[in-house]
Amino acid sequence: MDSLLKPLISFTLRLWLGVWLLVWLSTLMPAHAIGVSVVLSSEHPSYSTVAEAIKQQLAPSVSLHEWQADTLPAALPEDDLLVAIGTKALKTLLQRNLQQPMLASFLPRRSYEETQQSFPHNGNISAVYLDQSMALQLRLIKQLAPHTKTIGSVFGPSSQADSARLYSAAYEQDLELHTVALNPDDNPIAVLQPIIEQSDLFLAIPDQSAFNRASAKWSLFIALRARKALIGFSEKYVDAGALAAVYSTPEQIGRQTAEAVDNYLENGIFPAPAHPRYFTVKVNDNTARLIGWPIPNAEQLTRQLQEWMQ
Amino acid sequence: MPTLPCTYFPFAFAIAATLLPSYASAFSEEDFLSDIPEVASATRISQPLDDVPVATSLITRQMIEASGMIEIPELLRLVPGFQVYPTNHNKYAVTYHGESSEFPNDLEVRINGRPVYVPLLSTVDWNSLGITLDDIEYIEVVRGSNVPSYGSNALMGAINIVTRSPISQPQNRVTFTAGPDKRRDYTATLSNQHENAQYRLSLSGQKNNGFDFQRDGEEVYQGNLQVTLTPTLYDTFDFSAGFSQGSIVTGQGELSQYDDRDHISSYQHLQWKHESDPFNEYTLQLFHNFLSLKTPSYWASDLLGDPGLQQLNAQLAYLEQQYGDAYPFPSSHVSDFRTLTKGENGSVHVYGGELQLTQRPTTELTLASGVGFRYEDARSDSFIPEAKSVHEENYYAFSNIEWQQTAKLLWNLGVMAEFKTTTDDPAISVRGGANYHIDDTTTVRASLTQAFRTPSLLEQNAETAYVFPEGVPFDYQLKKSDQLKSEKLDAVELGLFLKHPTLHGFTDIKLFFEDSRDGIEGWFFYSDLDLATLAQGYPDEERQLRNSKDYRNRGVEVQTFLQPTPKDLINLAYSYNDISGVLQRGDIRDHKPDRDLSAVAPKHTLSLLYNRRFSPTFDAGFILTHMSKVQWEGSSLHDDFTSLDVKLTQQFPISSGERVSATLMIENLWDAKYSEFHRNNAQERKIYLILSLDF
Repeated sequence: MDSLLKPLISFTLRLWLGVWLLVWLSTLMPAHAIGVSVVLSSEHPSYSTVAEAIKQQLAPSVSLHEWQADTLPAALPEDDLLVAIGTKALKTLLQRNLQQPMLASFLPRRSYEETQQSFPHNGNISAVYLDQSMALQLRLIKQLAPHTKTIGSVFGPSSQADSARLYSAAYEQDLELHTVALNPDDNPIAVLQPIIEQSDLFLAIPDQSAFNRASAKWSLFIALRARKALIGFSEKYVDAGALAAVYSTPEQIGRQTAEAVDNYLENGIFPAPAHPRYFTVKVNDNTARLIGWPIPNAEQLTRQLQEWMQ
Repeated sequence: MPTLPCTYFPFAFAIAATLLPSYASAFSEEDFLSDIPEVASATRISQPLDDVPVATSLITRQMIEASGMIEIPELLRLVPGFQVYPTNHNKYAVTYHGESSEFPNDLEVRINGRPVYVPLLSTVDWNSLGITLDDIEYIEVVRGSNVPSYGSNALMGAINIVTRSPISQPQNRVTFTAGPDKRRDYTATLSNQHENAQYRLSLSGQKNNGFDFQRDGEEVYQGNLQVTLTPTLYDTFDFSAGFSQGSIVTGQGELSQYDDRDHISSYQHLQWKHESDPFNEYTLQLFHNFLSLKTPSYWASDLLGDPGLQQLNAQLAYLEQQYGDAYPFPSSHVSDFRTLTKGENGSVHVYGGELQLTQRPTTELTLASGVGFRYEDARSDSFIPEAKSVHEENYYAFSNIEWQQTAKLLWNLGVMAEFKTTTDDPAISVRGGANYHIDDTTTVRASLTQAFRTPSLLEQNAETAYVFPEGVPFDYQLKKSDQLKSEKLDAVELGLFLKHPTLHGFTDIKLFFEDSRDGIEGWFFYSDLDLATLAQGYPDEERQLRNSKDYRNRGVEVQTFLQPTPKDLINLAYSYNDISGVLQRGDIRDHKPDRDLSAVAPKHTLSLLYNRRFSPTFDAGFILTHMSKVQWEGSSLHDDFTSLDVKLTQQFPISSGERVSATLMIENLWDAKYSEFHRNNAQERKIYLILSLDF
């Protein structure tokens, strides 16, 4: 019996050892490369910066392919996960009716939702928005000026769609909201002046660039004259004279996008479409002095907002 | 020296780019990335300072208030390479990398895009602009040739003064300035709105007695009105009009060489901006400038010290007797007549119009192209015989292209073609530049410019002779030019732009290599026979404007602007310029040898502005200014100077939005003894008190 069992045990042990060794060795071997195709809307530096940030964050085993929306090849690598940087890239991919998992990044929530409606995607799709949630922006206002009761805002032809979200966020944070529609044929000063003067603070809502350029100029002037604070939505807005803004840089959006890609590669699902988790607050001290609003520094505001989000 | 071929390539590029397809104008992330308008720019395209092809400085409202400076031209001391100097107590000249003369002619100055260069003087008359320091929002200074964007007069640089919008000024304001030499200045500005029109009215008066010796004071009153209409979101009309009227003193040297100069100026300017869609913006502007100058006339007999011209007539009678039939003049008897001794006489109208289209066909490409015209009509009692009117039409087309080729590499191309009715060939100036962003904080740039400055109306038509009514010439002084061609500049610039994010500022270092050829200056030769020749016993000299000056600049400029804390503001401007060249002065080499130009611009200029806000209501600062020796044109002065100005401002809030401010400004704190431009312009410590009420 012993003579029979001994070789069997020995064989079993060797087999087990061999399998274990094989498994262990396999962990040392390079993994099969997982592909991600990143499609950029254009050669604008911001898109490239998002792509570069994604590349820096992802594991080296992930094989990254970068494309431009205008010169996208007829066939993309079949197994690749698709990442669209910007609205144009997302439209281009959706128009092809591809069934691969798709992540849209660095685009406003409104653009994502409108594009989704125009070109529905039946598969696995999610997004990392460029714009901040209304709740976060109102929270910034609360931290800048805790005694703020009324907020004024103006909607253009495109941003009108966001009004319900702003009203809802204002209600939740116990703020009274005064809004007005500004149309291309309106006299901007006649429309903006009453709303700015009647409110404690003015919040700029992004619309199309021509609207933003035209309305920003007058909003900033009127707010300065009325000694009211104006909260912008970009770094450039603050440079131009807004009191403060919360925004995300391309690097921050890239980081969150890479985390969403990682999540998919590990679990097979994307996080739900989301506003940025990483953001920056910038304040304009000169404006603060001119309108006589003492404000906390930007780092402190950023930290407080991060804590609030958590 | 590298040169650029004159080519129509940028025009073709501009036209081709307009044909590129534009994508749908739905809301997207591009709307987040687009610029909020902040400043005008060197290329007529709104650009951050690290994207411009040539070094550009910005003097902001904050810097204006921090400096405490009293006169508009003095602000340009904050800009590297600029020389600002009083040619007498109240008259300023500004030059950049050029000759330090009373009438520097190669800087373009604009107010809200309206050129204020005076073709009657071939320079800018800072005393008759019609605006004050209180009217200015910011000044953009292009340090380097800007002809491809602004045209001929911007050969060495360009300045655009942007005034405060009727909507931006929070309050009404009155100010009073008291200073040395019985200086009393008043300004009052009022901003308001009437129905849908926003307006800002500014009135001011300046009065002082000038230096003790020459009593070169001034009494000037001026005002301007600015109206803004915004009928729709995408249309803005800005109308401005202003005037300046008063008297200053002009001249230098002996006391008898100073004269009162009366002026009346006015302007009207209409600008319409229309943004037709996210990719196209139109700007149309129309303007009219008027300036009239007058200095006293004198009887010839008084100038000659010959009452009734008895001695002169006796000499002529003697000469006729001696020469007989060979007597060279048409009469042996002359009558007295009134004549002028200064060039600042006459009047000039300038009418202009310009249409610019700014396009953004893709996110990488921006174009600013347009066409314009200028009509100049001048009458000069000093330089144009019989005070006849002379005029000139100038048509021009321009295109500037900004191309963001990659995330790091940006190209700027610009071209300006000018066609004058008084010159045969068009002047085509071009510029190409590349900016490479090494990282978020470091940018290197290189640019090449070939620019031409066409002769001004004055330079083409100036002619001066003192001739008695009987036709007897007393002195031929300036002969009309018949062979002037455009001045030419080849320039290379290498720049390094460093952002200092933690200090909220930047450093801009510029290396420059400029070759200027065919500069227009006086060429001396022996005149036709006149009484001056007979009086002095040897041939008298006369001059004619010719392309007789060649020079080059090599050097480095550094500007650092920092706001390390919200309370501190620092601006450092330093320039080293090694100028060399020759001014050929003509055929009379014994009396007028060629002039070495190696000392006509200072080697070193420096200004350091520091201001600290110690509390919400109190701030203090200083400006340290240094200029090394310079050979002023037409002066034996060869001084350097260092001066320290100190400013203290205390505000007294009255109520919300209302306050009184008091500023004590001490110029030349340590009372250094030096002169600028002329020995008579002796500087000493000056103390000013500026009171203002905002309400």
